[in-house]
Amino acid sequence: MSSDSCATSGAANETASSAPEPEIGPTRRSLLWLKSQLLVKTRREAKDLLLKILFAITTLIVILPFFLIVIQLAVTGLSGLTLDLFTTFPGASLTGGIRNAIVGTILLVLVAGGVGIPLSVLGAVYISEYSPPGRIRSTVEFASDVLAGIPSIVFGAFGFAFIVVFLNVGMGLVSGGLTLAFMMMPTVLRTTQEALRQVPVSLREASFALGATKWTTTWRVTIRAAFPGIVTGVLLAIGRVMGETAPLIFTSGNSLTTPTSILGPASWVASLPFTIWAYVSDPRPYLQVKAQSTALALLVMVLAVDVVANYISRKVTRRLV
Amino acid sequence: MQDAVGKFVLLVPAFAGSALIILILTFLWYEATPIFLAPQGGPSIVIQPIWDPNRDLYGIALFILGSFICTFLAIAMAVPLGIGAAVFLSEFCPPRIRTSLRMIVEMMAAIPSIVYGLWAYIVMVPWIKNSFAPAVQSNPLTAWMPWFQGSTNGLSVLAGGTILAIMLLPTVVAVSDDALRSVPSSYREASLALGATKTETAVKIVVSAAIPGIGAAIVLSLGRAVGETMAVLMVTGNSLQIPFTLLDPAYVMTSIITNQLGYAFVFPLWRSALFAVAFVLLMMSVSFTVIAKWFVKWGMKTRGLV
Amino acid sequence: MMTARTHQIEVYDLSTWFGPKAVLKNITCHFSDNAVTAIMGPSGCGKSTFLRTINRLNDMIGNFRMKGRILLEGEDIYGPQANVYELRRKIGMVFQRPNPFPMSIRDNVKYGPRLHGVKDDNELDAIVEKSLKRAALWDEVKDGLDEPAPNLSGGQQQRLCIARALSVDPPVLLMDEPVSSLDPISAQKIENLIVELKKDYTIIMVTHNVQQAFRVSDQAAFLYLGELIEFDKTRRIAEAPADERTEAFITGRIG
Repeated sequence: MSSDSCATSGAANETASSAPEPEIGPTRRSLLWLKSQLLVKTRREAKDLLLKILFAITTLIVILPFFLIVIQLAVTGLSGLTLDLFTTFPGASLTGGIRNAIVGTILLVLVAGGVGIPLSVLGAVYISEYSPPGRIRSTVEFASDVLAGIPSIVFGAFGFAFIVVFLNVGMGLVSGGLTLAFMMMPTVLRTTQEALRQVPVSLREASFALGATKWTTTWRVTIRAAFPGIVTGVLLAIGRVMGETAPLIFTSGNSLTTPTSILGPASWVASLPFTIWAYVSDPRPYLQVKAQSTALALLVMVLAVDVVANYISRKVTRRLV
Repeated sequence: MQDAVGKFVLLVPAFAGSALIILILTFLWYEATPIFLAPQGGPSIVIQPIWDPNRDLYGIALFILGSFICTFLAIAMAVPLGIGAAVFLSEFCPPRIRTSLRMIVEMMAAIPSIVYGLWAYIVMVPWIKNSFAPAVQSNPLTAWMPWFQGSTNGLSVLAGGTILAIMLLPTVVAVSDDALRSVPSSYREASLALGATKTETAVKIVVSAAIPGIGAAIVLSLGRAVGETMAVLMVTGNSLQIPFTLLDPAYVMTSIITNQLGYAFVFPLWRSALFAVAFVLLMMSVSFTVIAKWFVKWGMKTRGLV
Repeated sequence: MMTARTHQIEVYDLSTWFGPKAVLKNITCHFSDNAVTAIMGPSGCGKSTFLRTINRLNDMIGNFRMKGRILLEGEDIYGPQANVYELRRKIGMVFQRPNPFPMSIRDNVKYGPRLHGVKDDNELDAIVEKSLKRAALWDEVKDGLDEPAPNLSGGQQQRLCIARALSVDPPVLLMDEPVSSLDPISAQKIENLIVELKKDYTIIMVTHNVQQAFRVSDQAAFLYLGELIEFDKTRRIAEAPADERTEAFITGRIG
């Protein structure tokens, strides 16, 4: 952008100069632009135009699957999205709804979030506000990045071997929830850290200048300013965890009803992704359709969480800047 | 005083992450050691291709190969497409369209892998069997190509690689787009002032300046591709044979664990072998993370960007 | 070589707008060959826009509009026949903040010639050496041509940018406040360089520093609120400004 900004001029000059050309409407302007783009004279310009078209086509290819998937699920699964689906249990023959899975997913997210969110947020607060840049900070960040890259099935295998068997917790809500918590932690830690980083130093300094302690400053000022960013990160992590299957296959068990206890066999819990997986693997044809309806429900839930998260983050950037 | 207490309280959660990694590493290693020490196994299982627990054969090389092929295919498709789309978004796209496109890309990143797998299973797999394979095998231009041979029911390396690519694309696009946009516009101006076209500027200057970020995204995508479970599980066929063509089925590391850990748990060597596969997976993903970080550092240094 | 034209760049009745806002108004002037013309005036108010209109860099900004003609070697640079890429090869630009590409010093200077068709490595290396020598940077970097350019000091980076601009042998050089972001010693080195360069190039330099304009330039243009108030030999303007606004600017009352 031009670095010029004539501070004073403005209105006075407009009348002095010769009249500006008449405004061109948007359609005419786009057509003129298109025409100017196609007017190639040299080989270099032709190459330029060709590459631009190629890049545009690439983008179209990239977003195409999104529409294919949504359309496919909607076409087949929409008919199954009845109120019954959400409110009834499947029953022994699996002809009912998926209420077990919906409640199960919510419960699992609650357990995972209840453990994972405080740990990660507090951890991020520590390394961002209290620890000096140095070995501790870089170790925690490194550990976080490594954790974020570990495959979900590895978490599942670990959860199974460690929590279910070694700690003898058994499959169910706790094991499943904890495994999911482990998966949430690195992302929430990093996003919280980033949100805290974005808070201008001057805000903290203003608080100190007024005589506040570090603790008060951190909680009353910094975290409050970073709050929307933190919430966005948490929501995105929740969205991710809602759709995870592999970590739960060996840790949460499955159930046709809702869990009645926190530990033991009565704590076995269904979840949306697991249900999709179970139905697809099943030979009965009516379950194929149910699987797609369930997938559609899961997709809508996850995208809703994502949209809310993006909305919050967009609202925030406008405020801080 | 308040500060000291606060500091201590926060110290604990901060180390939870590191503690967790050490725990995972230790535990997987603990579970995997038996097969490495047993006479039927040993460290060489990593290169032995025959997997038959009933006959005490625990070669896991087949799964490593399967993962490698699917990942390679996925990266080969996702990287050029992803970077191309990112270049379009950051250099050529009008701002309003750009916001909508970025939103779509972010939504794609949020789609759970089971949903991708489901779609691939009911749409892509039959398409490969009924449309792609016949078309490619009857068309004289492509029928001779060795990687298109073989009969298939659709469950194949091609399906696995493609759905993986689709899943990797949103991250590649988003990270590359951010990396490209953070290249200072003064570089673009200097390039244009020398008489370069917009595409020349984009390719020779902007992309080149953003390579550290883009490269890291690619390496991390490698890690994600190798570790992806559900989608690949549903479409690669899970067959204990070496895939020689794109249309052959394969068995990847994540799938064998998912399929057999439940049954294998009571058989010590079988279970240990599966944990060995998990351990290999863990090592690979840690390596990719480390390589990605190192790559960013190296890239920045050679560009003088600190 | 060229025809016997007295002026390489001629501007006729140039007016520009960004959207509804008028920036330059009815500017007419001719820039002398092989001389330094300073464009001076208070901060903002069109100097940079003027420069960027000459090498058509403002084309990149969506709501830019212009009226009038700018002739380079007799051809209208905004005409239907004009090739903007060839134009920019003939008109080099050095920016206010040094902006070397994040590559090696050598690659920075090779970039321009490569764009315009030079492929032979030996030829490219010769151009690199020639350009760096002309920009008075060769001796300082000749042993480290493959080092990343951003590692150089500010003054060195700016000389590298000058070398980069010179690499395609442009008859005209545009400089937008080339030393305003540098320390005094580097600034002086570059000012001396500019005086040297004018023997071979036509240089148009934007500055808001009156003393610098007097030191370095042969001709000066005073731009105020988008209008060309005065345009004449620097010495004449310095000793006897014709317009009171010019005098106010020179003596520091406005700026």
